[in-house]
Parts: sequence; structure tokens; C-alpha cells
Amino acid sequence: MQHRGRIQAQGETLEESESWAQELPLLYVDGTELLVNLEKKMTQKELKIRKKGLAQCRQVMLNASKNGGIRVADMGKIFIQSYPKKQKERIDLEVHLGIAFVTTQTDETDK
Amino acid sequence: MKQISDNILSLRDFTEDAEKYVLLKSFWTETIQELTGQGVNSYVYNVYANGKEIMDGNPIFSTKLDNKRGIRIIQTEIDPEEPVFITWKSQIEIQEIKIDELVISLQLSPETFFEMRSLVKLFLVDALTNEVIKSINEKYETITTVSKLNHTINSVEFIDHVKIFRNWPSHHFTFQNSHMNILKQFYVDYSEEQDTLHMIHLGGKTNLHKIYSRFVKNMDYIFTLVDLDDFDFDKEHIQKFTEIVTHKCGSTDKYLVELKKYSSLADKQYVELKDKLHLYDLEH
Repeated sequence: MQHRGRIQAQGETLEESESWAQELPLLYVDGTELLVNLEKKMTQKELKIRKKGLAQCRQVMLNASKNGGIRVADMGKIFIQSYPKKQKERIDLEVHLGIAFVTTQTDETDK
Repeated sequence: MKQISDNILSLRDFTEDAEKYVLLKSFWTETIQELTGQGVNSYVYNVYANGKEIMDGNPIFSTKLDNKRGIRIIQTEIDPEEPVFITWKSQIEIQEIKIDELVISLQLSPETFFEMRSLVKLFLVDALTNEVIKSINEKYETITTVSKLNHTINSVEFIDHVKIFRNWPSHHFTFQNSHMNILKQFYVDYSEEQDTLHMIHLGGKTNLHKIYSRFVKNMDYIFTLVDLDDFDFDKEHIQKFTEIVTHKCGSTDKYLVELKKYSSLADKQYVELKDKLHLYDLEH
């Protein structure tokens, strides 16, 4: 799979994630859908703790979509951002390989 | 030991400011290089696909050590409402190679800088235990809670909050005045006792530690109840405030009961803590 990554929510009693592994770049809209799916796995309390982190994650995806996405080549690096609230309560956004948060897939695959 | 200069400490609004961001990146590079004695081997992309740098401090620095471990630093803007310092260890995978990383997210100050240095040194010699990490996080969780409380009670919104209560029946106003005094007193006294309280925490699950933990928890509840993040002051502010507290507690009367309960509990615990702290200081 050329394009993969995940969004993870961690906590004292929480470990949930939404990941992607696909042949085509991840679209921004699909990334936000993954985030929505992740939110659905959390209780109201867990959502409240991570309110700002989830908003930051959304903003990063949006910013990325306006700048050609995030591109990770296979060169010993990944894209990773963490939005912690407490030691164990946080959101992690990871792009392990490929391209993510683009607005169209054709723009990137043609490059 | 590398000191932290006033120039670096004074940098605010550094996210998306290219000049300030470069200064901070250099600062972190020099700092970690001095600690590790190694060159920088970053393992995080912080660039968009169009080549534009992501200048949000998340992370502001990363480096691999011996291909098995890594250090990632997240620097956030100074914000009294947000965590001052959080750290954790985790394992990530970079092209199928597992890396054990130390992650530190901080608002930069002389205290957090010193804390960061201590943690990195322990990490370098594989002596950074989960107990130490937990202890550091709990210390800063308390500091953050107190900072948030102080910010709230000194904010314009909270002062307006008191004005709202003046329109309520007089017994509510009387209660709110005394409650604000308790909050202010907690902050002043607590700030002076921080180091001793932190030592108590490191001392393990003693009775004193239990009281300390309960006190911190009640402070947290109090903050949740007076949190005004979602509150806009406008012509119908009393009605809006009523809606918010009703949502939180079921009714405005219940809200006041909750507030009084936690502040009474915290008050008793604080008195007990102060007595025992005095004894602790004498013994140590």
C-alpha cells in the first residue's frame, strides 16, 4: 500500500484509531471522515477532554489540503503531530507513507 | 550547562512567524546537541507537499539517537489555559523500524527548560522510568490547574460573572464572594508551597499524598464548574449563563450546591494539608 497513516486517540481507558492503507492518496474529505469516525468511538467526556486536540487535528488537515497535502517519501521520516491534554489523553495524527489530505487524487498521482 | 536567554524566552506568537521560528529551531538544535553530544537526525517531516514549512511547533525539533530511540519536542505558545508541560514515552514505527521516543510538549520557561533537560538526561542513560514521568506530569497538571484558576478569577469575564450574581437573590451573592476568596487564597498559598507538595508526591502513596491528590482533584472540579470558555457576555447574559449551568448541573441552584461542595471539600483538605505540610517540613 503506497499511502498509509492513522489518527489515534489515547487515554487512561481509551485506545482507538482510524487508519488508512490504500493505493491512492488520501483525500482531505476522507481524512475528516476518519476523524469523525474516531470521534464516534469516544464518550462525551473523552471528547470534551480532547476538544482542542481534535480541532487542531482538523485544522492541520485543512491547512495541508490548501498546500498540496502531506507527502512522506520512504526516507526514514514520517509526519507525526500530537495534541496532548494530559499524559495519557491525546490525539496523534500520523502519515507513515505517501500523500494525505489532498483535494483531488489526480493532481498528486500525475506528479 | 546551556542557559536559556531572555531573547528566546521572550519570543511570543512564534507560530507562522518565520524569523522567530528559525531562532527557536536553532535554540532547540543547540540545546539537544549539547545534551546528547550527537548531531541532529530528524525523523519528522514538517513540510507540506508544496514545500512550505509547517511552523506550528508540533514538533519544533526531533532527532533519532542510535536508530532505536528518538526525542521529539513540541513547543506551544504561552497560554494559561493550556497544559504547561506534558511528557510521555511511546513507540512509533518509521518504515518498519520501531523507535522508542521521548516526547515533551511544553510552554517554554526556565522551569520547563530545566525539567526538559533532566528528562532528556535520564532518557539518554535509560533511567527515565514511568514513575518519574507520572510524577512530572502530575506536578505540571496541578500547576496548570492552578494557573487556569488564577487566569479565570482574574479575567474580565469572571469579574462580570460576579456582576451576574449580583442580580440574583442576596444569599447567592454572599456565597459567590466567599467562594472567590477561597479560590484566590488557594492560588496564593499553593504557589508558595509547590516545591514541598511536589516532594510529597514523589514520596509515594502516603496518607499525605492521598490528601494532596484529593485536593488537586477538587481544585480540578472547581475549575470545571467555573470554566467560562463557552460563555459570551451579551445583553441576555444572565439567561445564557443560566442555560450553561443548567446544562452542567441541572439547575442554577444545583450548580451553586456543587460549587459549594467542592470548595468546602477543597477548603478542608487544604487546611489538613497545610497542617501536615508544616509537620513534613519539620521532619525533613
